[in-house]
Amino acid sequence: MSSKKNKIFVFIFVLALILLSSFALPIALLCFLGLLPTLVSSMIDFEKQHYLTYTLGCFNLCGVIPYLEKLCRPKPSFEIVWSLLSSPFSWLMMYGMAALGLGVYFMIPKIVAVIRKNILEAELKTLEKYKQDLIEEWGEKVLPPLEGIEEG
Amino acid sequence: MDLFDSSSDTKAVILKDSFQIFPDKPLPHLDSGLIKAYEVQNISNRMEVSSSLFALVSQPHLSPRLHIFSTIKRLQTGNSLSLVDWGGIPWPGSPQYVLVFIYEKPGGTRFIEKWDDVIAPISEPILIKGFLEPITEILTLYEHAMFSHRSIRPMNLFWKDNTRKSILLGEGVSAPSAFFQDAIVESIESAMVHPSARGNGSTVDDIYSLGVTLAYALIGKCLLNGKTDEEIIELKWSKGSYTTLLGGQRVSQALEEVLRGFLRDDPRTRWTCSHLQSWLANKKPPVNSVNSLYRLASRPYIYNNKPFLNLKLLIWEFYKAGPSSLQDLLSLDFYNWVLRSCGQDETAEIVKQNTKHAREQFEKSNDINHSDAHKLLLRLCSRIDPTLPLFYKGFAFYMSGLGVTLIYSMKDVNMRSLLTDIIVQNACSQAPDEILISQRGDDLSLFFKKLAQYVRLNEWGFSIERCIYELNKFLHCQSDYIYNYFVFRPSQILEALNAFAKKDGIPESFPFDRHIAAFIGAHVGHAATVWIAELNENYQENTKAVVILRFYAQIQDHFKLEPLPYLAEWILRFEDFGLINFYSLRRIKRTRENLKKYAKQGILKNLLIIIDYYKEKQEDALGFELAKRNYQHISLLEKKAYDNLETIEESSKRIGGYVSVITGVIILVCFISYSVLKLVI
Repeated sequence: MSSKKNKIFVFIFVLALILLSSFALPIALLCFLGLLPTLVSSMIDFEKQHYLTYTLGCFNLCGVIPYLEKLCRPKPSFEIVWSLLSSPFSWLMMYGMAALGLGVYFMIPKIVAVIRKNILEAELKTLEKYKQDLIEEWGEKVLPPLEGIEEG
Repeated sequence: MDLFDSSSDTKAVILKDSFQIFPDKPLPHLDSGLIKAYEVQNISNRMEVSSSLFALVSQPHLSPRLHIFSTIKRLQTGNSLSLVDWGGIPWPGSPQYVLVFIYEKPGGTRFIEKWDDVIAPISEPILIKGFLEPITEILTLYEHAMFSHRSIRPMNLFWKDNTRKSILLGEGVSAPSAFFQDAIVESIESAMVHPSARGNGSTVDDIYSLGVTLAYALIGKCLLNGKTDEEIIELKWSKGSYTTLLGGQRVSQALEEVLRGFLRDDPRTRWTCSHLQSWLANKKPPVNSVNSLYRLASRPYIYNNKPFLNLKLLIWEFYKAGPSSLQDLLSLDFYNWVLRSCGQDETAEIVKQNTKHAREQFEKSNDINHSDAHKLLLRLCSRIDPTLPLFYKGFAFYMSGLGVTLIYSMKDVNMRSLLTDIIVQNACSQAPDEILISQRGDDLSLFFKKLAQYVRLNEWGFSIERCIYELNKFLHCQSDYIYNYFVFRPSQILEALNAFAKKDGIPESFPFDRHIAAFIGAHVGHAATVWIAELNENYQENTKAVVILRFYAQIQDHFKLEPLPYLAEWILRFEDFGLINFYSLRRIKRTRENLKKYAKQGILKNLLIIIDYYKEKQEDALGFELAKRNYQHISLLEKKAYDNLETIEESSKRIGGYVSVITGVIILVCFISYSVLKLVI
């Protein structure tokens, strides 16, 4: 993954925060602190498709959204932000969700690999059985000449 | 010469559940030439045989005259040994079955045991009543039945009883015609021929032998005793048979006439049965004109510093000298000698006609090859004197004896090679038409041309084996499988093979050989020509089972034979059988099961239908093509799957990442929706 893309992503993220801070600074502060794992991951995610950043970002955002909703309900203020940030549960929620995203990102490919491997092995077994059936029915004459020679 | 070691096993052998033959009880006084006699006991209640019996055990290389057996049995008059029965039996010391002939024992002893014997001269009344009349009766019957005895000699006569008034004629069927006849009892021409090649002969030959026998009986001894065959022949040539055999002994006028008639050297002037019957009835026998070939020339022809007055003897010398004699034979001197000194215009014309072209050919071509020179010699000599036997490369033979000689020399490589050469070179066709037509009653020229082609074709149903059966129509099939079954008709071959497999178990070798093919080829006719052509066209090592099965199925169908389950099983035993037509192993297995089922039914045609079933074969071939394509396709899929397996970690990481993102997005959408709803509400 090119670092150029990462820089663009960080740039857009920072630009969005600056724009947000111009009319809702408490929200921008919460977003900056809450989405810090996403920002870090975008900087270290060198893969082309940025699956880590997207996955982690989605989960991280899920952790931040409930607090954004609390912040926005009467009117965004620094008091609410401080009260939220002073609660360890808030941090646990926001960063815990990010950690869950990281876990999902690492676990799902392994699960997919296992499932696909099983499927392929079953498919190979079926194909081998078809071949055996053909040999049983027609004898080794059914083998392509080259294969026959190799086996012979 | 006893081919069999009968002392190794002395157990009695049973023939047809009727006769018990004792190999340990030989009866040398009843031997017939080299054919040994053994004691026999009649154990059957069915057959009423008054006197005691003996058996003559044939030898495989001496082909018995089976073609006249049934006629002989029918024509028994009481003046010859009475044939009771015959058949094939296992014999101690012999690897194969042998043919045995059961005869009634004669009431008296053998007339003489050997030529050395000196006996009291037989009186004229006994000679006429006891010898001439009974033998004339037999020979007349044989003549009407179109065959001859060819074993009349003093040693083959038995006294009917101890009164010694009348004789019994011994047997003449257990060995080839005239095989045991000594040069003394044979006419000059026949004595020159190899014993196995004397051919069928005729009553005229029997009359000559009877004449010699009468001469012996009349003077009580053999004047030629101790002389070699060559000496006997030369004496007969120079003095004539009558003078040679009687040697100036006084004979009554009546018998002298008979003996002179019997012992004439020219077979065309010799007495026949009708002459004898006329003489016995006190009538004057008709007089045959004397043939000029037997006249002596006025001056001798000098050949090899030896003077010759007798044309026949000179021709015989030419024969014996081989192609080197062609120089003399084709010379004008010889022609002039025949014309002027012999005074034989007719023969001289034959010499002129036949030597003119040959002389040109001989003079022009110095590289005339050996066989051609021998053929030319045979052609010229046989035309000049058609009464002489044929002579080729030192071997004298009659055409009708060629077949028997082939059997006789089956194990003699040199002899067999010579006989093959005679056939391949078509030497017999060099003989004049009168020989080619007279000896077998049909045109033999075409027949011998066909034989030459058969020998050249080294294929199933042809070769020298085919010639053996073509020349010996009454020879049983010599195949090792069915030798012991004495198969004389082609319809019996499959039944014999079936019986062989049933009795002796199925052997490891294939139920087919050159003898079977040749025997069928020689006996079945046009249908066999087609079968054999198909056989040779399709026969390969891996297809032989089907080809032979088809061959046998055609025979079974042709002769409407009974089921042959053991033969079918025998053919099916060979592993290549089912594989050759089908690709599908399952189909082969199924076919084999079906074949086994049908084999038990024994109809070979049904087996063939299973193998030859066209639609199934077509389906099989199509299925095989499809299977090959399927296999290739599966191989490709398999290769792809293995490739996927190798890159599964990499690709799963990509797919997993994508799934992770989707999961994250879905959860995010849920959270956002929930929060928005909460805010709105």
